[in-house]
Amino acid sequence: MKRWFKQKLGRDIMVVLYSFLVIALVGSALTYVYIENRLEANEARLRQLDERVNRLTTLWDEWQADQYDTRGYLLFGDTASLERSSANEAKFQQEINWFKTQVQTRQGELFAEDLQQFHDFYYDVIIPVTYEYAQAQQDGEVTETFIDAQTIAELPTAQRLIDQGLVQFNPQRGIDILGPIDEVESALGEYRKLMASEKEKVYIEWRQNNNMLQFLWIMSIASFAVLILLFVQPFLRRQTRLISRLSIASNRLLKGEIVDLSDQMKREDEIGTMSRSFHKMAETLRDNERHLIEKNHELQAQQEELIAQQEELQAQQQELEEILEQTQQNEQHLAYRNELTETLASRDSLTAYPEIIEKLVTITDSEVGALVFVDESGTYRVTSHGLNDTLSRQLLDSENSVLTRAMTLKTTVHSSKQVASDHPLPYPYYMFETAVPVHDPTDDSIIAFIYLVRYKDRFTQTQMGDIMSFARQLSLSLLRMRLFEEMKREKGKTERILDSIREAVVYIDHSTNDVFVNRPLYEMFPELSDVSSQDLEEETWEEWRNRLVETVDQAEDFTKYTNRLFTEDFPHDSVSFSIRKGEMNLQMYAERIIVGGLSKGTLLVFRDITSETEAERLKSEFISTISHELRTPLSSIYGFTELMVKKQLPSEKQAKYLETIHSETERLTHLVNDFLDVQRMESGSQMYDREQLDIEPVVRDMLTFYEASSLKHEFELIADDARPYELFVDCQKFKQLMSNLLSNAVKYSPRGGKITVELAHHEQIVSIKVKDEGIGIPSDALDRLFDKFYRVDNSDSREIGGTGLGLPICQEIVRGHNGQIHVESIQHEGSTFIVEIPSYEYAVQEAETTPV
Amino acid sequence: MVKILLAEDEEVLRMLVMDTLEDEGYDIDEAQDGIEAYRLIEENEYDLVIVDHMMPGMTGLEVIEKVRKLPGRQETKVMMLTAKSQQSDRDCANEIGVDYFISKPFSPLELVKIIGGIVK
Repeated sequence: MKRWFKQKLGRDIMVVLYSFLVIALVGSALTYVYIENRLEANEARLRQLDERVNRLTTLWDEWQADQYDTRGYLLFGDTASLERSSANEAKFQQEINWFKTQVQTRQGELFAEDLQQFHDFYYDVIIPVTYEYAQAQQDGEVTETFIDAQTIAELPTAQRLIDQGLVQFNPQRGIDILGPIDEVESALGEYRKLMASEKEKVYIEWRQNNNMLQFLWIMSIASFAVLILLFVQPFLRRQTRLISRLSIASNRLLKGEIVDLSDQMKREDEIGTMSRSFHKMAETLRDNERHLIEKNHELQAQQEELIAQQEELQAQQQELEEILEQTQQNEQHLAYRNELTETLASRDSLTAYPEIIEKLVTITDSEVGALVFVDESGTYRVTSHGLNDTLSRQLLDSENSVLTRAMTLKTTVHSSKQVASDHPLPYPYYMFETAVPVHDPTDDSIIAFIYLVRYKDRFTQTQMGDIMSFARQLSLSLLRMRLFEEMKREKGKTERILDSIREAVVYIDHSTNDVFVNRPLYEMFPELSDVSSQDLEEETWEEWRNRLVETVDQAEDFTKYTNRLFTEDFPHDSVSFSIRKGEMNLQMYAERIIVGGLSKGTLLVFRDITSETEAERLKSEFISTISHELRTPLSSIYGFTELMVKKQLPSEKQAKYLETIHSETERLTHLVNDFLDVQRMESGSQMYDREQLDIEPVVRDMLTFYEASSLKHEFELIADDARPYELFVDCQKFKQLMSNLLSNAVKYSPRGGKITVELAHHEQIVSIKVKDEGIGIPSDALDRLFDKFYRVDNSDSREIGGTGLGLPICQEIVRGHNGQIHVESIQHEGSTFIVEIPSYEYAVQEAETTPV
Repeated sequence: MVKILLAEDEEVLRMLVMDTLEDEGYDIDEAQDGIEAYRLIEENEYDLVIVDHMMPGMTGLEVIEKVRKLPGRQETKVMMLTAKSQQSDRDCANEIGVDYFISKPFSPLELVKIIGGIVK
């Protein structure tokens, strides 16, 4: 049992708690039952007393009522009242009997006896006497108004009663009945008083019981609390103390102190288990800690070793850094020197002087420096770095300056001097100057000086070496630059020449494969402008050729020719081709550029031969057309003459043939004349012998002539203006123009009709309209109407002969006079040719203002 | 009877050739332009077709080119009578299928001889 308690911490707590609970419950129940009983007894007594009081009251009331009835009977002779009074007797007796049986107390018994005595007296004496008196009254034996005791006493019954000794006779009062009544009344009152005091007593007792009950309740709760305080709290405190010991122990363990829980460890409950585990844990921790401390020692040793190594490494690194810095310095030095050399070697040295002197200052650890150029007239040009105006003036103007001395001595001059403390350092300092001459390698004259200044110390031997070698470099560079400038000038000149010629030129450098082209090439091949010039500059000849060939119509010829350029079979001829679908005709030829027996490059020349080709084409076309046109009439003449010569022909045939030969010869003559006209006009060799001409009479004369030669046609001239129609024209040519237009009007209106010539003035021109009612011109032919040898091709016009040169000649004449000619026509209805030529006034004005 | 077509736009020349050949007893049709010539060749079978080159409507060469594509006209003998007499013109005509090439001006009697040689 004890063991069972020790195993679990809560068990004893629970047992104690449950015990208390049971005790409290039982105590409460007993108290309750006891108090309940007491209360119940009290209540029973109270009820008993109440009943007695009630019965007493009833008894009293009954008796009082009885008395009234008796008196009523006595006074008024009401028999009903007497009967009621008699009937009460039994009830009265019953009540008395109740008291007799129920009330066991002494007072009760005495009271019951008193009551019995009174009852007996009342019913045995009073009632019979009263009855008798009343009877006597009724019988008239007694007539008195007021009851007289004497009378009563004289009554038989009263006599008997007196005799029996039951009642006393009193002469004043007759029969004494009041005595018992008083007695009973006082007994009743006393008993009632007794009852009331009894009741009071019982109430007090009940109150006392109630108070006691409350007190008991309070007491039991208080005692319960006290019990808890007394037993449970110490128990809990004990357990808590154990746990807090564990807590303190763990804190101490945390701090690394040694913990002893051996007393607690023996316990069998949870605290025991916890303590044991805690102890184990503490031991493990201690072990671990020991292990860690060992490890830590080991690590510390290692770290120390590492730190030592690191220090060593740092020392090494520092050393290396120093070396690196040194190397970097050297490298920088070298880089600067390289840059300097490069800058000197570059083409743009002229603009790089500030850079050069800056680098030189850096390399030689100088403070300031300058390049002083001396030109032929002996004037100086300075490019400086960090040189202020004062210093530079001193340097150039002072007779004692290193520069002047170096110029005089033609050698390197050093100087050192103390400088006042005003500038640029706030204390006196030494200034070391050096001036190194730069010689022209061709004639050894001085062309420049290198001037450098240091403040700290003298220039070292190495630095002087640097400066001297730089001076030599600079002299070479200046020479080279001069040559380069000259070359650039020459190149520019060549470029300008090449750009200003009409031919496009491509030069292919054999050693570099670079391609140089002149501006006309871009004009000839505008496609090249789409490509950025930078791209083109880098392209090889092959790429160039691929670009060009794209636009060439005869790509095969072009490729074949250019393929030969770099072979033994170098083309010495030229090749012609058109580009952009005949837009332009080009001729290309190639030349080798040979210098000292070595071919340096290839030159390709493109000539624009478009206009030449066109002129040639037109010429050959013209000749071919002429020959064709001439051959037709020639064939006729040749054929018919042969027939006439070689064959026997009938005379009518001969006549017909001769006529044909004649007309064909005439045609031939016209043709030749027209050809010559056209040729003259086209070649521009046609001279117009201009004069002031009123055209109206000229046209009128011509119309008269035509009217005479044609019966089918009617002619009309409309010239309404009063002003003369004056032109500034060649009269002969004007007549030829009008003649061509009029003969066309006649020829192309074979069925006749009206031919109208209308002259009109406009602002600056005179217009001449020639209108016919002939076959008209198909609209599709209008455009080509003024083309040479063009003839409207349809059955109407075929029968009408012509060279196809009339209208072109008209056009040439009109244009030759700064005019215009055009035609309006509706097929089958007629045509109107409109010529517009500047009026005389305007034409003269124009001729004066326009320079010849 | 030998049937010949003469296509020539120049009336005078047509008269010259007609007169010359009719005397030799040939049956001759005339055409004034290329279109008419083509129509006639399509409709008739000629022993010889004489065409001018420069004709309105269709040139002589165009007519021959089309004729050569017609069924049964591949072998029709064709003579070109033309004012274009350069070698390039001859080559071009040959290529298209012209058998004989006579350049203007020509000798009518010579022409008769040649035709006689062709159609005999």
